[in-house]
Amino acid sequence: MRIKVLTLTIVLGFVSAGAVGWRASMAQEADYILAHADVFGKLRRPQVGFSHESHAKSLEKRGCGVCHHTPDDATGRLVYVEGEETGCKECHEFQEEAGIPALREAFHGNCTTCHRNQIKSGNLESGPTTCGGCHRRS
Amino acid sequence: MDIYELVRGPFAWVALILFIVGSLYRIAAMLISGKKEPSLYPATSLKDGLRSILHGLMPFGSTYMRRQPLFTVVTIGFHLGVIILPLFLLAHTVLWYESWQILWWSLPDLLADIVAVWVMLACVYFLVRRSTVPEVKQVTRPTDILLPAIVLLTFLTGFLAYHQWGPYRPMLILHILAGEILLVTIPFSKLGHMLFIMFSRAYMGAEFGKVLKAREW
Repeated sequence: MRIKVLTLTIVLGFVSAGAVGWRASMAQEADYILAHADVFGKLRRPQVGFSHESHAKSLEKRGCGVCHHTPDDATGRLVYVEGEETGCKECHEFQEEAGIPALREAFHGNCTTCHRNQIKSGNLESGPTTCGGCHRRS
Repeated sequence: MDIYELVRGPFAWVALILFIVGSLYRIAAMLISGKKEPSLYPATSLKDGLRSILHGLMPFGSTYMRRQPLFTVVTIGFHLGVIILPLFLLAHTVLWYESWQILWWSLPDLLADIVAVWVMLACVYFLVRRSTVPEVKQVTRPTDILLPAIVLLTFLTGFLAYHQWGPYRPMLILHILAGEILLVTIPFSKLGHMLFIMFSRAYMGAEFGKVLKAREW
């Protein structure tokens, strides 16, 4: 009896761990924190809360490539390759290198610029455009 | 219309253009009006002019500074602050890049905070001095109160916005607006000493050195 329970526990453990791992490989968590102290060192501004879910939803039409881009081997242009989505810091480092903007400028360039363009084109419900709108002290 | 977008975009352009065109106009007008004065240009002297500028830039390099040490220390910190902070504050360097892809150094945040507090206290000191010291009070006009008050407002709102004390968004918008008002005010008010100080120091230096053959104070 005891052995049966133990075996069942172990099997269930593996199955659930596998399921969680599989889910994680399929999609980002709904909400997470952008801090990257590993790139920036000691953070000079508060970390940024980011909802992947709401961005995936509002960028449905324009596609994931707005953020998830990789250089095309042949042309060098930035393209979206399904299944090869990576985080920003995989390519964008602390300082600009070989024409790849630094991580800070990449974030600001994507987030702030996109939000501002949204607002300029009349969508006042877009995300924050001010420093403290994303970098909240609270 | 989004108010932040308004002050960040069109208002900023208007302020910047008025500042640059206004400054060029004021400097050009001054140089041209100097030509009408027959004795002015012949009296200029590069050597005496530069000497005077050097003495004026050097802390305690002129008699008037040595006579009022507290004022000198306060005002030197203030002037360094109002030039360095707007250019090299981290939040501002991010915006320099966002607008024009210009990337340069930023001040450490603690140092920036100290300088900002220095500038604000200096404004308070100037305002108190303007209304209490008799010989200064005598020559004080409303604009002499208003100008330090705008500088104080600009730095106070910026300081509060950075720390996110108080309502953040209105504070930031007020900060940007105050900064834009300040920028436009520079060429058309006493803040114009930012444009003219080198010329007036050089002129006074030449007047004392080459013309009067006297030492300059």
